[in-house]
Amino acid sequence: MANTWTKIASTTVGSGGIGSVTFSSIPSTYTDLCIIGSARMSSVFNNVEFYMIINGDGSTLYSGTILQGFGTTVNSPRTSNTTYANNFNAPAATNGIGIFGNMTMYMPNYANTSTFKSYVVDSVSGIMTTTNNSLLLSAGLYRSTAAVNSLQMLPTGNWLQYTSFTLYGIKNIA
Amino acid sequence: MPAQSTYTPINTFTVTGSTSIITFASIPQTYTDLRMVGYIRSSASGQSTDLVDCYFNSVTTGGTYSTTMMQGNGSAASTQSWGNVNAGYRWALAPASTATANIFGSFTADIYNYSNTTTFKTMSTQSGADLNGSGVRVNTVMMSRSTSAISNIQVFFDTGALFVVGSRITLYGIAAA
Repeated sequence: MANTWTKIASTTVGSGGIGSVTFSSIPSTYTDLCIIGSARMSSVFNNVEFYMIINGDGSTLYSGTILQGFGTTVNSPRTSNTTYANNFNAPAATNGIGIFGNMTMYMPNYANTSTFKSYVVDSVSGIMTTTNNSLLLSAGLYRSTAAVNSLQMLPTGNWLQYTSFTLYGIKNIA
Repeated sequence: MPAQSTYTPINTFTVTGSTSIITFASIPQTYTDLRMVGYIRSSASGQSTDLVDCYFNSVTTGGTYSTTMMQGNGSAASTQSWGNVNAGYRWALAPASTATANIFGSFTADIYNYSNTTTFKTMSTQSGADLNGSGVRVNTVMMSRSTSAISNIQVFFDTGALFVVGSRITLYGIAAA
């Protein structure tokens, strides 16, 4: 049988929380990358953003187009020339114990050195109120032709215990 | 879902020349579901994005396709639908000629239970192309009102434009057991 989805690395946050989760030394041997996360942050706000930095690059090469349903409101914000990708959200400490958001980030052709890197994100945060549940769908762009070898996930505040991220590599050949 | 031994690449089409239609033919009926993953750009002139269409089983008449699209363009969210049309309309989006060079769009498209011969076929997609200051995120559901098993998928741009060299679409088969 083919082995096209391979777990590259996985992190589950311990009891003390942690300031970031980093996948480094990502092999260039796959076709696509996917991060699947279950996340919760220490922020005092509802459904807050979290961030991703690629290749440790904090320059203004990131942008995103977001389609978001937030309670009874739908909108489409945009970010341009930011120093991080902020296409994600998750519940915060104020949203009740045990509530985690789900997210997937799919990045095709991450290892090529000719074109910019684009990705799509689905991020959901259900916090059991009628106004603050959030569904965030986004398209992200990192305007660098460098192969992606590092992905850092940064919370607002800290990642809380039991937050987990798993990075998968996907091959398009068996 | 990340199932290591059940997710099998059926075929990959990487564009190296002049191509306006990417075809996956003779799709085996041995999987449970299908997934297409794309990294694409359109050559359509005078526009920053182009939409993506498809045919199942080369069906191009009869008005058996329909699509509902939800999209955000960075300033507003909206929804559109097309019914009784002759192609699987507008279920993904890609940068086109006026977009900054080197930007390609991403999509995934899932077709569940594609080989059954009893029910209509539904495809759900996620797609986007951010262009740093413009761009669109799109999610769609597309239906083909045919009970035929899907053995052939043709993917093409709404404008009929060529795929830019370096565009790539992979078709995966997913087995439930």
